[in-house]
Amino acid sequence: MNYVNTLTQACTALKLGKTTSVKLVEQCIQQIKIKDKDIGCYLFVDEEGAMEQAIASDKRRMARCSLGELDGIPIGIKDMISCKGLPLTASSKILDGYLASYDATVIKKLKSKGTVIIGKLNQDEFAMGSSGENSAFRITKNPIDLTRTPGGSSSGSAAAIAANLAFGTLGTDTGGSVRQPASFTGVVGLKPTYGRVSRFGVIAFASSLDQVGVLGHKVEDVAMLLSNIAGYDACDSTSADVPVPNYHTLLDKNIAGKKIGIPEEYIDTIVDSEVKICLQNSISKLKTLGAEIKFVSLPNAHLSVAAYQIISTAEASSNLARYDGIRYGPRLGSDGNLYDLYKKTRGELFGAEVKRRILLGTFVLSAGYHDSYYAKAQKVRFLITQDFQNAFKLIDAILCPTVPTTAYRLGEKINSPLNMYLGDVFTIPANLAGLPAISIPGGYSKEKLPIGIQLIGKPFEELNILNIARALEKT
Amino acid sequence: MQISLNEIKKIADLAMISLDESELVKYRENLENILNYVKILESVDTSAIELDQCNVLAKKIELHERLDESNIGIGRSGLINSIGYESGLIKVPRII
Repeated sequence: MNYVNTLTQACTALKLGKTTSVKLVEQCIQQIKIKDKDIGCYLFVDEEGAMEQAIASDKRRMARCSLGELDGIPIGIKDMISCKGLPLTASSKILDGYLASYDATVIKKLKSKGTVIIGKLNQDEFAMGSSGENSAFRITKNPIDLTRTPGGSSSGSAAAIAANLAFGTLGTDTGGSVRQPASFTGVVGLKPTYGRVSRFGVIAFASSLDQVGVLGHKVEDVAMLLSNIAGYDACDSTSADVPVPNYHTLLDKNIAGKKIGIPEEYIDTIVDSEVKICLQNSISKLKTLGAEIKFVSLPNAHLSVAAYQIISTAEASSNLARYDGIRYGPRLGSDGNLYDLYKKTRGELFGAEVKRRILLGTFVLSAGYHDSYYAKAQKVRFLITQDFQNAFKLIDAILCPTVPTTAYRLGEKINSPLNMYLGDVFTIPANLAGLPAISIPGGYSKEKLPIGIQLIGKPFEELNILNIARALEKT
Repeated sequence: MQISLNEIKKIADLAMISLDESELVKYRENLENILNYVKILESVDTSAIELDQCNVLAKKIELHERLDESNIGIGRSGLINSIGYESGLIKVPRII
């Protein structure tokens, strides 16, 4: 069998009759069986269901009734996203054994295009973490170097692409959870504008920050996935009614004359010389392509991690209150006292990182602290958003590293939560401001570890950053 | 910022999470570290910003307007008794 690796290659091969959906599913399943016991991308592989979907897809194609370009393409889904009849655990023991009773809107959309759902992907528990080590079930390792983290929280979504265990994957991005693992594993990851993609059926972590994101080998792969999942959804009241371009058919536009901003405050923050060189190389490439490079100021960006810690944990403490042992999953300590049941279930079944964030969120929302922490953080968020608005009056997109470092070793930061949080310093601002952002491979370190480069765009201008990313990718 | 073990116990009670003694000590240290870090926000002058200006609340207001328009969620019937919006919330007549 001729292996195809990228989503676009797979679509073309299907279209030209050079492969079938069944062969593509077989390829993924075979790779999963060989590699995934070491990597830990998948929590659940729906081999039987995927094969049924593939057979149905091939029949449609034979009958010239294909549902579109993604018909028959095997896709992996982060375990934060509800797929009817499949496990939905958010990698938490508190949802162990729970089966989703309905499809998230993004899954409905993918299924309506004939996409094959191959399985549910590992992640940090409730998307809380940046290393893939906070899964309650198994650690995900970086396929590039198995002693290193693949990043997180969409650890399985990124590692599955890097290891060719799916042609495309969905993740979620609350503070960089799609872009940071994309950077660590050398793949492309895009977080859309807040409201661009429906969150209906996606487990909520921090509702004002969460977005479903897409991952693939190439910019055109994520563009195609985004075209197929974006759009207004009446079931998500924060969904935006903004027209969705057919992103992947509009790529490859000339970027000459585009104004690209480099945040001057970030320059001193980049201490890793290889990351700095990678950024400089990207700047040189953009200049060669005719783009204009300008320095811009984001004076409050250094406050992002602090504001994010308060806002995201406050929202998480509220969102995760529903997991009490009554409505979902296992129940512990049913000796007659309801409150003891709640506390025992949550105390024993939530992992350490989730408990830490719930406690912090409860603290910052508690009487006497709300104004000094939560209200203050919201106001700082407003200032950060204003900084971006001001910068975007002068430029078309912002270029910066995705992460300050390359992938670190497993266990290196697990006992130092604050150090791990600080690794999200370049990704969090886009979530706070609700902006689209993409991470693409920008180069490699001397240790042959990928270094990601990030482009941040104006609201709903995903096409612009996809085009710039595509131009960089091709250079 | 220093937090006592009693405060952590109280927070854990509010969060409905049982913690053993070693966890109480660990989380106290974790929270102190994070709260000391977020002190960085204190230095920012936000006196000119009203909470209502912040985008999250604006989104909530937009959300309620959309609920009203699209007849989803609580729907129009649920809004019959509404007497308007305030701070992103639906106002209803006093009943007690």
